[in-house]
Amino acid sequence: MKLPQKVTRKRMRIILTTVIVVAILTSVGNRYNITLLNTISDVLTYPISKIVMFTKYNISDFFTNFTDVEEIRHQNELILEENARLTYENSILYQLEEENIHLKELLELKNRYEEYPSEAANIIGKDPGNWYKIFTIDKGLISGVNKNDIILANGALVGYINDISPLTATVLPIIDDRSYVSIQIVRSGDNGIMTGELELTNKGLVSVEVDITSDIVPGDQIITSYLSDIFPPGIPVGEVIEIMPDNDGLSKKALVSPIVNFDTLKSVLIIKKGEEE
Amino acid sequence: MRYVVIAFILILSFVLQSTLFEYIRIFNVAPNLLVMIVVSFALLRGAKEGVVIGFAGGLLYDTTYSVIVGSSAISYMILGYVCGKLHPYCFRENNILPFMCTLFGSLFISAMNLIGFILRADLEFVYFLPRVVIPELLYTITLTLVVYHMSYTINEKIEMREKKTRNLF
Repeated sequence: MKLPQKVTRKRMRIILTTVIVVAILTSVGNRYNITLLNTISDVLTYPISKIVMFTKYNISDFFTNFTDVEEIRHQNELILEENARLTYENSILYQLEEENIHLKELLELKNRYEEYPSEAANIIGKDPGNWYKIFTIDKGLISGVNKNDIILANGALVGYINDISPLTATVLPIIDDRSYVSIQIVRSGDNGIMTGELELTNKGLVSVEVDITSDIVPGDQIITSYLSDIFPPGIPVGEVIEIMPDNDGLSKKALVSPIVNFDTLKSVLIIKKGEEE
Repeated sequence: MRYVVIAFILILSFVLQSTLFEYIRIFNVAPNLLVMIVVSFALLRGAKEGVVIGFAGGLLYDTTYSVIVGSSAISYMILGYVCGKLHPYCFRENNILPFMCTLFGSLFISAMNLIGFILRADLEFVYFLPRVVIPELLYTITLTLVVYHMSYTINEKIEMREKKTRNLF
């Protein structure tokens, strides 16, 4: 291809300016710990996905308003009954709580994650493929969120922040195939490893591998263990629903149903540990 | 002009896929829109543009949802290149070539994903094939002709515009 000199000169200028701009952006990014590519794709996709999600939630809310009135009346009666019962139970629980605090002080077992500051966030996108379950939330570095911060919903574990950019953060949930969490069985105190498996993700379940000698039965509560770097100890995860026969004679495998329902998850709670990378 | 339109298509399809497409999931399986777009534009415009579109689309996916940046950018780039090499054999009104290309393209992307699983010693092919690979393939190829015709009209319009601007100079 033969081009006039004017065009080649113009092209050289364009290439030079792009190189300089990219170099400046990378050095600035390095300085403030912001990834360049993430930021660019963020700025491009964030407004659109935010708008789409916003309208989606609002429209569905508007229509469910009409259909739900009858149901809500019925529920209201039930709730009033339940309220009376709960007030009674609450008074008992209050006594138990005081007892519990006393015992905890004795054991010096503090629920550490309650001390961390927290922030609510909305889910603005889910992995479009069929292999993984990663999703993005609308809080990022600007909101003071850091990598490896914990994500909770309904007081139970969802996952941790795997990747972060100025406006959004990517969450690796516990049902993803690439997630591994060190867990503990509440009743017996045995440790194990919880991992998502592709066979189970679509049903919203996870699998737990424990030692062959450990004591685990269906109905056991699972919490995060004290061994993990990322997760503070004592966050509830879920309940064992089935023990699978092992195939190697060294470990037991159990199916765990998480407390969080990942299909209907809309908003989450970020626990800021305040740690730098 | 062309780059702006194609970038807009890529971003819009990516955002729609990650937000609203969860409603059209059948048995928790979603179609792969990016494969269709990359294959259509590569067949219509040739290898050079196919590579660029495949790389850009894959990178957009990588930066947001992937743990390792580059894995899907490379696979979509290869897909764009191979389909672009078939550009001389493609009659634009013929539907068979885009159909076959999307079929093998979807298989290829699934295979690249499987490599990721194999590297983590997860070898349950018996599960993956009937539950993930085949449904995704079927869903993708049923929608492929719709997407192909849409990109065909868009491409036609852009080319008309380009002809006009060229005549001016």
